[in-house]
Amino acid sequence: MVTFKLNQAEVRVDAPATSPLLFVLANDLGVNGVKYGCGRSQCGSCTVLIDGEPVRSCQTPVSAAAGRSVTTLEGLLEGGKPSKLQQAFIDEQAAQCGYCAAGMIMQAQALLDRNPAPSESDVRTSLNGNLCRCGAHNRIVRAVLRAAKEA
Amino acid sequence: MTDILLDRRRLLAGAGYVALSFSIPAGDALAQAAAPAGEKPRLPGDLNAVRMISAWIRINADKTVTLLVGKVELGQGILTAVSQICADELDIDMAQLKIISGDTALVPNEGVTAGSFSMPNCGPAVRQASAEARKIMIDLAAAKLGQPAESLTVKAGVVSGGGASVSYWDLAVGQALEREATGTVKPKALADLRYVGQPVQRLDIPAKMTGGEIFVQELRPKGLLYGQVVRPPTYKAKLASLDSSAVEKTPGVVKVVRNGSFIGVIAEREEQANAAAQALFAAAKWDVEKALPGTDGMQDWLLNAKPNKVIETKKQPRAGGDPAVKTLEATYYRPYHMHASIGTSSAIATLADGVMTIQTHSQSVFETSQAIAKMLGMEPSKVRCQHVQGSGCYGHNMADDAAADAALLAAALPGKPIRLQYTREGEHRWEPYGSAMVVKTKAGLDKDGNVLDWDLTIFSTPHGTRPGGEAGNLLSARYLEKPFAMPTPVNGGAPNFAADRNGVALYEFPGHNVLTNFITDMPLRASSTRGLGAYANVFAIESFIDELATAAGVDPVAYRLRFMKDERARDAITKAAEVFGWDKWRKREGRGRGIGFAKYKNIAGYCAVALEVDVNKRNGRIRVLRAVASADSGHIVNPDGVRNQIEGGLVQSLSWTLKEEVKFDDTRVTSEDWASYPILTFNEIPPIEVALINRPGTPFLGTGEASQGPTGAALANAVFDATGVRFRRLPLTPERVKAGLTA
Amino acid sequence: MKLAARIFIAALVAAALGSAGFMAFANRHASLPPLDAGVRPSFPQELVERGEQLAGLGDCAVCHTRPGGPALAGGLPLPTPFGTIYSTNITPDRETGVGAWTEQAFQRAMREGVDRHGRHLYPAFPYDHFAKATSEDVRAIYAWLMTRTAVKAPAPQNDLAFPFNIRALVAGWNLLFLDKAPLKPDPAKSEAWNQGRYYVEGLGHCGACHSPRNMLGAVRSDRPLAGGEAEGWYAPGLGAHAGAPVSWTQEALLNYLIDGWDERHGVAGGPMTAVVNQLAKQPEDVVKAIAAYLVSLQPEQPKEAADRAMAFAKDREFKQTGAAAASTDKGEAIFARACANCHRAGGQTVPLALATSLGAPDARNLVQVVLHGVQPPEGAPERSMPRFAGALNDEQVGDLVAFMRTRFSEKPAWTNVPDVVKQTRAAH
Ligand code: FES
Ligand code: FES
Repeated sequence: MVTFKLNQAEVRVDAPATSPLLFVLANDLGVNGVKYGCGRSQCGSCTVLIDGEPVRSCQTPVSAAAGRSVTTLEGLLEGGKPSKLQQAFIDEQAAQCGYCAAGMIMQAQALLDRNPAPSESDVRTSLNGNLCRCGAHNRIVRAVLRAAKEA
Repeated sequence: MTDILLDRRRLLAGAGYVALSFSIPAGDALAQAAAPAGEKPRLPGDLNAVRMISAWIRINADKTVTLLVGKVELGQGILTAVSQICADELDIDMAQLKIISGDTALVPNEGVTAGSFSMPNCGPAVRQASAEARKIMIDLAAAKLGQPAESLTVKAGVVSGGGASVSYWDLAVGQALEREATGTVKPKALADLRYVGQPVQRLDIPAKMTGGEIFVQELRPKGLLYGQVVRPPTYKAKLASLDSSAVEKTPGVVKVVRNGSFIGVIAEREEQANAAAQALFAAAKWDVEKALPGTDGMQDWLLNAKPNKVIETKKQPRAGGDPAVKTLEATYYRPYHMHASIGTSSAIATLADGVMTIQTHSQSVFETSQAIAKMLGMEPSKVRCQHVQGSGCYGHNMADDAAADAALLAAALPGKPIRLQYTREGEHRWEPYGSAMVVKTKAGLDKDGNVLDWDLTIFSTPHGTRPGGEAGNLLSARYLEKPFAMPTPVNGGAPNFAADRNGVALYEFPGHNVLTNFITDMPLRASSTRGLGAYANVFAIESFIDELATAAGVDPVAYRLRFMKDERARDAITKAAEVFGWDKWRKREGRGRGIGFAKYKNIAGYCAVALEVDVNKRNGRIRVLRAVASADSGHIVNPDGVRNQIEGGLVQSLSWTLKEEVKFDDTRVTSEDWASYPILTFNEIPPIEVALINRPGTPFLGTGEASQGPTGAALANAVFDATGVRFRRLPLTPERVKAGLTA
Repeated sequence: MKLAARIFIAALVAAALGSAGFMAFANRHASLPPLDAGVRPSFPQELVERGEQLAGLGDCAVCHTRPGGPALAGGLPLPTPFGTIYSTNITPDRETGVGAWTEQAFQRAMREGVDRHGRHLYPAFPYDHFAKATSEDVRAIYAWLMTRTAVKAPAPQNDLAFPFNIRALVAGWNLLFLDKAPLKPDPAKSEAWNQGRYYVEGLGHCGACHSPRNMLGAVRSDRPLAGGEAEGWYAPGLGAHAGAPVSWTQEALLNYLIDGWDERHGVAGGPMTAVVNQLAKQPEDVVKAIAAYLVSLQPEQPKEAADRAMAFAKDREFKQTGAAAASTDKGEAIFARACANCHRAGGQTVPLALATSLGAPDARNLVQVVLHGVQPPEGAPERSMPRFAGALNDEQVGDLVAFMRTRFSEKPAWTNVPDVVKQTRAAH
């Protein structure tokens, strides 16, 4: 039994301690905002925040979340509405298939938390380890910059 | 927020809908395409095959309209675009429209969603069906209101005239739309369009940004179990023995499924299934054979393989005239590429009450359900595929295999929904790649450097091994106890072609021959990958024309225009050059510019790409500094959608051209993850400008695959411009470029 | 030595200096007249361009720009053992920048560390290195700065403890440590070598980070380039002190300084990232000269030693990918799960046993990388590494780092790893 905070709410899950946080979030807790892409820390599509730090949940055992605070894409919503950052992704239509988007947004959120006014190159560098196959990169960069500007 | 899945759920559950009955009984959908059109008038797009208006449009009691389409969303905004068309023709708000796509029991069979055909085939069908539905409603309203039809206006589904009004939902009773389209109703005039031509925001994006349930990977029905499959170590390995007893006793493992050389496992948790699959692989003994030519041997293999067929794609010998004064030749090579979707393929299958229901992100739900039925020995009508979005696929990836594998597991454990999502390695090593190709070019020139004779010879393995209703095209079916043989793949013909797609240059030359060596033997599994042969053929054609321009000492843009008669092509080339600033560009050390052009398939979108590179001679690294693309996709339904497609295609093509090559040794593929098959990252992507050329009133031309070919060639041309060295073998990795520069 | 002790001793020394040095020099520097208001000096284009190049070499923008802030407008906090200093605005704004500075004032600041008003600048500004630059080069930088966009941005108050907040004390420091003598070219060496030395010792101010400092924060002249620190990172020794498993060649150094990585040494990280981003924009000859000079300081490595180091590196690489590591060594288990997906034989990464951070005298750099990942330099765009600060707790990072040192280095185990982990995490 592991207990942690998921998007501000206390959760308890009955999963083996070594289970990847990704699968626990997705399959036990019904979180949509995490995606399996590689299971190898290589693509970033499973990114969540643990105590504000971006973490690749595919290679993080659920035990590492015990007693800590996990934030997923759903946790960014503000009163059920998209956050500034999420809205910026919508406004910039920053996706093709959008499979990478959840990880992108979480990684970008971590950047903006540390650096609220990033330059374009800051954004690119900090998202560099998140892969997108559809080529939506420039839109994604624009969305993050837009969110920073509007914040 | 539109939640496409929820809408469908509600609909499927039968809650709160529909004034009209199904026009297609469940299970019968497959027969539709075959229905002869007879002597009836030719209808636009796919409406010609599925002619009932009610097959496309339903007017619901809850004041909404449901649009049913056989094409599916692959992340390209197709459903948004057809919704725009439908809402415009029906005079309803887009918010009043729901859409169901790709459910074999519910929607018209529009075949495969591929080849940039959605807008050309589905778009006009939806437009015509919607226009006819509106006409029916107007006529009903005219009768009801006692007003002449011409005097009525429609807004948001409410028909008004003579001070009274009545809504579609009041009118649509009984069998109103249960009739065939006539083709006689004229769609709206351009000036009356409200959504078409506007950058309407995509319907699927909000859910993707906020954690809505929209991908197949997110469906978790009650009682879900998790499956995984075990692949052999190599393509042709046979399972010699397997002791699965230890794995069967592992906590969480529900069942090990073995059928010939196919091994699968079902467990309570996803990670348990994955771990069990690994353990099973370790426990299995295989007979392995060495048979592959290896990454570096592939070019020679293609040149030496005996083609199954030699196709004269174009034969136009020059009629008389002077002999050429000079002949140039070149050989180009592209390696195997992966689709490499970010999300690995996935499906959920459930066998209940004798019906296998599969949620899949397949591009070909109809044909795949047929193939799966054959594999399982079930009645075709008992296998139902429902399309749910997945990660971008860029062609025939493993979506269909995942559907088949989930079904194989579900068949072994009836009553339980089984979900399967491949591991990264499973997808990277087993997906059907874009075929490696060799293209040889030869040109005879006159004294001014003009082309007199143009010869192009293609060497390629197949580009189409989609399920096509045949079990043998499903990967696992080949490993079963009673294996299904893979049907011999065929090359496509005119006007789309396959290996020879875009093999015929759009330029006009007096002599022009294209020969295709179609090799059906496949060292690596191959199938449709964005653009098929077009990428290699355009790379070769547009590189070679640059080589000829250089030989003639003529500017590459001017040289191209010498032979290009198609006005829209000329416009596209000129536009890209102009926006790029071709004439103002000044050469600097290490910098180069290049251009490439193609009209996709010679029948779809026109696209020219111009870009600038910086080549570092010390380390061979190419940096793309900026790129410009012009795009003429005919009448633009959604400008932002077209931009997105062109830009995405351009980035993907840069990635192919700069980095990608599936690596393999003599037994197996060794590109097994993102570390061994790297793709382009944020820091490597240049600013991209897309210049749209809109042609209102002309046919919709597909866009999804327009920019790949031109981009690869533009890049190679720019590298040549920067370095004076011509690179003809892809990808242009730093090692290769460095070696080329110091050779 | 513990920080507190260091400061204490420093204070004592400073007090001692106070009586002798401070009185004598504190007020020696006059305030220089401002440039006439309304005249904007103009310069030949070539001079401005040369100034741009040299300013890049001197990394002016790196310290004088705060994250997300306008270029050269200052405000970047620079943590020092004596408190936090904020970089100043060097845009040509008359009030808050250097807009009112004459060239003379600028020359004086660069070589003597005294601002236009005659106030001492803190030696966080490396004028002890810039003093070695020729006045023509300083003039070019002046020309470039004065032609940038002016930004109004007052520098935040420094946050220094007494007595370091007394600027005049710096006079004593200068007396002890500032050598204003220009570099004398060594006629026995090649022109490139001399050039390289000029860049390294002068504008490039490599020693500012890569040399050890004494208790008063001055570069130790007895151990130049023997390894120092910067922003919580160990700045490895250069030249004779480089100590890489496989010695640096000029080519390798060129790759490293321009692309930000070399296949036998690894990727630039931390504060070095900004430096290589600047060097990448320099003419290749400049970087070549730097590389030639640094390599010349290095003793020749016998081929067998290099071969052996390569063989060791190859041998120690992980052959298997990820897979559940059943190892009883906790560090190894973490490595197998979190690291071996990329750091493995046949992958795209530099063999870890060649990486500078694994051979370093302490664990700082490795811990930095594990916690905060790699944000790659522009020349190595795909060499990203994710952060693991959120995924691993202090104990796990400690286990991992200890395991990696044992596996990927022949040097003795690091001591006080837990402290390093704690400090590194806290500093961010
Ligand atoms: S799925 Fe976790 S990084 Fe790819
Ligand atoms: S939008 Fe498809 S992977 Fe990024």
